Amino acid sequence: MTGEHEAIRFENASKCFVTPARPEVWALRGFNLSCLARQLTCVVGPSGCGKTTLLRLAAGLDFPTSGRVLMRGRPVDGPPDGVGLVSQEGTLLPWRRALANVTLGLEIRGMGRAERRAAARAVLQRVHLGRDVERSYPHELSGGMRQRLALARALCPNPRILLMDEPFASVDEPTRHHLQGDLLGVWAADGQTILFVTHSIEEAVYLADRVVVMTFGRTVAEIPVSLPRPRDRLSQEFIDLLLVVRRALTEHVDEKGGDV
Amino acid sequence: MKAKRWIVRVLLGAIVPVAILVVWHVASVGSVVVPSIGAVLEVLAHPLRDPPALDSTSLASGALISVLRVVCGFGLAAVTAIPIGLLVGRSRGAMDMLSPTMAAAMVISPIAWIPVAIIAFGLSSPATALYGDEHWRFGLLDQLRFAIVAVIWLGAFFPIALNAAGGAKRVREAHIEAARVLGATRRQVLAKVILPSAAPSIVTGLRVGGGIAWRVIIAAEIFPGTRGGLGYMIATAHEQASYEYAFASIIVIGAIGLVLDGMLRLAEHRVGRWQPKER
Amino acid sequence: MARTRTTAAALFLAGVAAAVLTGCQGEPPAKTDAPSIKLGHVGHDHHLALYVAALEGGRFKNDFGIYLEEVKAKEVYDLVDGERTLARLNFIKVGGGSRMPAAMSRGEIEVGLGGVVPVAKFADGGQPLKILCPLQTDGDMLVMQKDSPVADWASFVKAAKEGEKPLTIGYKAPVAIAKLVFERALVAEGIAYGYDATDPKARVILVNFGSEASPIPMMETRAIDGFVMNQPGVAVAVAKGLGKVVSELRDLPPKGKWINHPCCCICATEQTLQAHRDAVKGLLKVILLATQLINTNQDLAIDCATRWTKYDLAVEKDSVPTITYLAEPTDSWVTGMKTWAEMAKDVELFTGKYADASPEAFVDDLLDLTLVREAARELREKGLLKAS
Repeated sequence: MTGEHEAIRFENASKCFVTPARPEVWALRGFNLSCLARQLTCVVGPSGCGKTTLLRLAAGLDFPTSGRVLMRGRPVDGPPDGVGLVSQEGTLLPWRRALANVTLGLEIRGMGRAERRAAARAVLQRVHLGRDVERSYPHELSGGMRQRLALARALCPNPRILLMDEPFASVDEPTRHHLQGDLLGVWAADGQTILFVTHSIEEAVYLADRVVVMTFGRTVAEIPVSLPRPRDRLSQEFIDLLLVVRRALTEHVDEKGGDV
Repeated sequence: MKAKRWIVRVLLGAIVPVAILVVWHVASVGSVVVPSIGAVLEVLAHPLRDPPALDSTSLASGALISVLRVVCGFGLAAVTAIPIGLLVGRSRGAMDMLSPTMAAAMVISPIAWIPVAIIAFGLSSPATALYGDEHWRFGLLDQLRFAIVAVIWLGAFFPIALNAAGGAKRVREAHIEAARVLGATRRQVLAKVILPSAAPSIVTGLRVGGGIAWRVIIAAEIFPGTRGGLGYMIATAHEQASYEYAFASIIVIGAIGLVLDGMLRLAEHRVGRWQPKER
Repeated sequence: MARTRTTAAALFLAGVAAAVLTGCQGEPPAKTDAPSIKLGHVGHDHHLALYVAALEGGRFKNDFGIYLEEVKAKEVYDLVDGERTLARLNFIKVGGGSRMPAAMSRGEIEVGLGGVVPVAKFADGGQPLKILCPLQTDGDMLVMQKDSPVADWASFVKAAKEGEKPLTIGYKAPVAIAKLVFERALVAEGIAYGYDATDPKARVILVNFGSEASPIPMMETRAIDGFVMNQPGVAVAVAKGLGKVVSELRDLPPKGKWINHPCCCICATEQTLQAHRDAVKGLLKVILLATQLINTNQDLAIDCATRWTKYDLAVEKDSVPTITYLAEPTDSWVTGMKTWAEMAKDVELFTGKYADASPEAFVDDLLDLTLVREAARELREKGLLKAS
């Protein structure tokens, strides 16, 4: 039963892929997860554990083989309203300049040109992108700027839920820290529900209210993080939590002897 | 320094045309078939004049007729080939159904279809279709013979369709999904993702198709019942041994072809300017 | 602002294009209730009778009362008899050879001017065509390089039989009259001929220089030693200094067989004859009168030829006098048609209904001369056509 403050729910969701090379690949096996509204949940796990699959199911880009996914109490049967997605891979439209990429969501909804440009500029400011990048094409921007742009595009239509698939994995560490700071700033102001997938334990502990450890398509541990923000990566409490998460992760990986 | 470089560039660029002119002049001495440069320039200098020694409309009129025919055939090809190409590129079923036929038909020269086009369309034109026996009142409309337009359509269709298919096939699923998550309908995905992504390939196809269309017009215009067009002028000039008109037509054909290609190249550049340049 | 300007410019250009395409050109010619007949022709001086009638409408109106009135120059003419418009004729330049009967079989033209042999070939294939009258005979020549030692037919035969190499002679089309006559003449002289340059037996190699093309490039490059062709192609080559006439084909052996050999004619579908009998008869009257005018006023004929075909005056001066313009069929012409039938049989040209037909049956089936004879009689009764 979904609670009224529950934003995302996975109920025994399983997903099987059939390919010519490998007849049956279970990316998710009876996956259960519940995310409350306004909560920042990080899912951490090794490569191939099903993290991307669970986000795709939540975004309505794919469907579970069994079980179900609910977004704000409604079963997902296609991309739901009010959901934004930020991926690791560049999904910015390369033929659109920066501002046009950001306005895409509002354009799709039929908002007028002037209005959506104003909204886009406001969002770009929030992710610390200046007006000088508005007319740039994505390939003319650095990796960090592209990820800010992708975030801005997802934020522009004011989604209530943000799904983020390792969005900062491809940038260097200093940039990643800045981006994490920007994300927290936006989240603090807007209060979206964020489901953030990462393979970095450190990133998960830094960002999350709750870290979900995932291996072989299922949840193996849920670790609450109640450290105040901004978090000190060098504090003992932070390091202790890193160890807890790492232990949870490696225990289950060792049991099964490696990735699927 | 800049001026000197510019002069050198111009001089270098002039070498081949000057060589052509010299060869032309030498070949024209004592020849009937190769007219003198002066005779050809005389024809080019009076493009609006009805040729006194040729049963044909003026050079300018001929050029306009040829261009209109190509624009119609090419336009029709673009309008039909792009959607079909996109469908073939995005739908496995469509690809299985249409691809083999398209691949086979593409290698047949459009000129080979001329007899079939004559049988299918005869002398009909939009003017005969709309006005029947009064078709002759509607000058240029009557000149847009369906048979000629059909042959041009055939020539331009396949490169456009195949390039559109290739471009559509190469659209990244990640881009489509990004639009879908933002709430795009299928139509919006087509308009905002597939078409712009495939646009550089489509325009390349248009450029290739446009070149073929312009080259096909000459053969296509040697049709019974046609009294205009640059191809008709060349054929008539040949028949009446007024070769200066044939040469003048060829020069005009080349010039118009350059302009048409230049326009399409500009479109190619504009449409593809978002693509990063290779280092 | 930029968008508004672009839209306005696009609309303006579209408007201009629409105006141009629909040919807005001032006061349009009057419409008519008379039937429309599509008439195919080639555009050279074998069809001069039609062009004289078209260009001299005023003279015909004054002198004969039956005439062609120009509606759109070179394209549309009203056939008028007294006060009555019999038909609106659409002139369509369909091209020579098989193109005319092919256009007729596709329904693109209803009356055609063209060579008798292509018409017969289509009729043989089952097309319901009838030859209504001749247009002209002769006008085909053998032309050799200007510096060739061949000066006449006798020296041609000698050169072919005894020369070091075979002679290469170009022709316009496989069923062109000139080519067929020439081949029969070679056979009559016992000269072996072929189409393959490697044929060791052939003393004359025949080369097709293309049906609408001209022999001039091949003459200039000396790819051929000569060619056989109809006027005015012959006159053009001579005028350009690329050849000399060594014989008229009418003079070739068998002696006398090719005199007044039929060349071009007027034909129509049976359907057209039934539907527009009066109009077709009117057209034949105009052709008869025009032919008479050509034969009595050669200067006018040459002038009309130049004005219509746009060939040089010098070319038409050379060409027109070598053509025998004939619209009223004579016994000699009918005999010539029978000769065609025999020749066609020899070369197995006919594979359909004429394949086994006798020359008489061929002529009976293909020709329908009643209308032209009726037209001639009516003109004579009015004193407009002189006795044949």
